[in-house]
This record gives sequence, C-alpha cells and structure tokens, in this order.
Amino acid sequence: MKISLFEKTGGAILDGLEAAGGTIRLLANSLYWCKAAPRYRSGIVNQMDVIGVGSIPVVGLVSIFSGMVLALQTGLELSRFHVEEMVGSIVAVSMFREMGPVITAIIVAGRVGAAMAAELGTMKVSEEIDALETMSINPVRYLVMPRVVGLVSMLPVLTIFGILIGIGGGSVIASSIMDVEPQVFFQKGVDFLSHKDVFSGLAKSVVFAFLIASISCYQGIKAKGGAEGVGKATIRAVVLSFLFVLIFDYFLTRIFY
Amino acid sequence: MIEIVDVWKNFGKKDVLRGVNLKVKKGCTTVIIGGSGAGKTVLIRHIIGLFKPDRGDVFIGGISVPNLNAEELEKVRKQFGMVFQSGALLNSLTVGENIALPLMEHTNMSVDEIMKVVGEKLRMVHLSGIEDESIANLSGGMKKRVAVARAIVRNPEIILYDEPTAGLDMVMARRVENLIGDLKERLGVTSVVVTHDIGGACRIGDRIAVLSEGEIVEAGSPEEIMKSKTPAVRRLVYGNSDHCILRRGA
Repeated sequence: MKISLFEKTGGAILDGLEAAGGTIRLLANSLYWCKAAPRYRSGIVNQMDVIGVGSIPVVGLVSIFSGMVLALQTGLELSRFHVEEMVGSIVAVSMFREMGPVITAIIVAGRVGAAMAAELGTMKVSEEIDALETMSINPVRYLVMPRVVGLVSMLPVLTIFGILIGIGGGSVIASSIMDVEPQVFFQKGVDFLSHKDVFSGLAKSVVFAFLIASISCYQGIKAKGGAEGVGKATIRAVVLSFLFVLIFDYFLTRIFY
Repeated sequence: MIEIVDVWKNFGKKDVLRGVNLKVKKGCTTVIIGGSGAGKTVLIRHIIGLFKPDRGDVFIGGISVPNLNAEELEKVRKQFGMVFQSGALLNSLTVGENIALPLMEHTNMSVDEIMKVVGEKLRMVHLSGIEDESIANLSGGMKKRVAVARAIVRNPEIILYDEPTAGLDMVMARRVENLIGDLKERLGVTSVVVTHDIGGACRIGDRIAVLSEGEIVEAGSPEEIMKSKTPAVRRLVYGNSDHCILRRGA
C-alpha cells in the first residue's frame, strides 16, 4: 500500500515536471518561430480576431459588473466615514493593479484557452498534426506560434478595455447610489493612479497571455485517446491556466510592490 | 530504397514490433498486410519518422531515419507523401487549401501557379472542380482521394498509404486501388501500402509482406503469399489456418 502511494506520488510529480518542461519548451520554440510571423500574418490576424474581437462582449459584461460591485462594496464602507468621494481612487487603482488583468485573463483562459486546447487536441487525435509533420510543416510554427502571438498582442488590449469599462461601471454606481459626481470620481482616480499601476497591470496581462497560450497549446497537442482525451486536455488547460494566472499574479505583485 | 532492420517497438508492456526486417524496392508497390493490432500502422510511422524504434534502424536511400535531427528529418520527409487512414485533412481549410498547403509552405510559387497544380492533382484523382468545397462536405471516399491528391502534390518519390480502402464500399475501394496502381504507372513512385484486405493487397501489390504479432512472417509475390503454408498467412488469407487443409482433405 505504501509503495503504491509512493509510486502514485512519484508518478504525479514526474508527470507534472514533464508537463512543465514540455510547456516551457513549447513556448521557447514558438518564440523562436516568431521570426516567421510575417509569413503567417493572415493566420495571426485571424487569431487576433477570434481572441480579441470575439472576447469583447464577455470581457465588457464581466468587467462592468465587477467595477459596479467594487464601487458598491467600497463606497458603502467609505460613506460610514464620510469619504465616499475616495471611491473613484479605490476602483481605479484596484482595476488597474489587480482586477482588470486577473479578471480578463480568467475570462480569456476559459473562453480562448479552452478553444485552443480543444481545437489542437482534435487535430492531434484526428492525425492532422501528424499529417503536418509528414508534409515537413512544423506544427509549432504553423499552429502554435500564431496563437501565442495573437493572444499576447490581444490580452493587454482586452485588459485595458476591461479596466476602462470596469471604472465606468464603478462611476455609474458612485453617482447613482453615493452621489459622487462622475467628474469627482474620475479626478480622484487620476490623482491616485501612478505610472507603476498602469505598467504593472499591462505587464501582468502580457505574462498571463504567455501562460494561457503555452499551457493551452501544450495540453492540446499532447491530447490522446479520442474525444475523451480532448475533453480531459481542455479541462486541464482551463484549470492549469486559472491556477497559474493566480500564482503568477501573487509573485508579480510581490515584485512590483 | 527503404530498408527496415530489426525494428523493435514497445508501448507500455506490449511489444508491438518484435524485430521487423523488410526491404522495399524502388518503383515497386509493397503491401504490408496483417490483422487488427498487428502493428502495421506503427511500422509505417517508423518509415516516415513519426515514431523512433526502441531498437533497430530504418534507412531511406541509405540514410538512417531515427538518427536524423528535426531539420534533417524535414528534408527527408520532402521525398514522401503519406495518406492517413482517416485522411487527416485539415478541417479548417478547403479542399484546395489542403492540397496547396505543402506548396505554400515549401515553394515560392505564385498562388495562380499553385492553384493550377492543385487542379491538375484533383483531375488525377478524378475530383475536378471541388477546390472550394469544405472538408466536412466530402464523403469518405472523396476524403481519401483528396488526401491522395495532397500526398502527390509535390511529386514525391515514395507514397505511404495507411489503410487506404478501410471504411469504403467495394466500388469506392476499387476506385482507390486503381488510383494507387495508376499513380505508380504514371509517376513511377515507390509505394508502401498498409492494409488488412488480402484481396486488395493482391490487386495492387508487387510484393506482399505479412505482419503478424509484430513480426514479418512471410514476404513474397501475391501468388507466393496465396500459396503459403505458414499458419499466420493462412489465417489472414482464409480466415483460419485449417480452412485450406480441410477443403483439400475433403
């Protein structure tokens, strides 16, 4: 029994290390193939459209409600101390530093990461990736690199969009419930925001994009065992992306602040 | 042209290939035949370098495939065309884009030149005018023939076919068999065909190798294989090893 448990633990650790190594290798390989990006511009633009334009409605919807909830919760507490006009600064700083990058990354991991893993997984189990290899077409160059470039270029844009929408949602609540004029709300936000807040938020979104793209593509191209295998790969891609976004968020926050 | 030397491959605890030896002559169609799970697909994947043997070697024109690095392997693969059992056409592309893909990736031809070649290859597989069709709209037989068109688009020296007639009705299977024979005559290619259909193997093969339980148990001309007394070959030809003996006895 002890040996079995030992074997299971050891096996899980080895599998984890293999996946981590494979994901890093895949990311390095896809960065290497960025030199071929101009040749694949139509594929990259297509990915940017799917990732960026396709995610706008859901990012907007989630962000506006996040900003509204944030303004409501903090505003009600601040009004107890008669400093409710500070709600603008709290919403703006929270959205730029933390909520904007993390919420957008989580949405994109769920929507785009899952799609990447499912699409590449299906291609793997239906031998399409093997077919590319037999045609001397590098699957990382042809399939992974456009997805990585598309996600890394679009996630910061979506993050900025989400932050602005979230702050807008917060201002609606601040003016309608706490009688804080939008002008005061935005002025307080600008006063308390630093360049570092904006930079750290964007830097986080770039790191998250690399994480989501590399994890999802790796899980997809390692899928095996038919439809069930594709399903498992998709679940792993989403769960691991969520997990690593949150873990890296902590460490990046420690580095920046 | 192709030489497989003592190739062993195991997956988990199962030895799928157990010391396979096979030579494929230039310009000939060699059929590897065997039952389900005999290791046929695994063997053909070793030839094109999709699998590396645990032991043994695979030579293409004297070059050891398992020892090539990724860049060298890409070069060697340019001599090949491969038709997968499922067709393995890229579902996100149209028929024309699928066939054009190797040319788009490896040549500096203009789009017009490429589409001209695509049209010519589609004519060769008797599917003219379907360049803009989606893969999802094709029947099984059409997918196989489009896969053949994609495999021959760069005029390869060697074509590998993995179960080219599996899942097709008799008429469509014959059409694909005729196409394989036709391509050999017209392009002079070396073909390796993996199948479990002895009738088809005899019709298209210059030479047949019987793979059973991970080993080549017999190789020869279709006539020699049909007359073979090896039990594993008889099982494949007649369904069971005693069938012929019983008939002869009666």
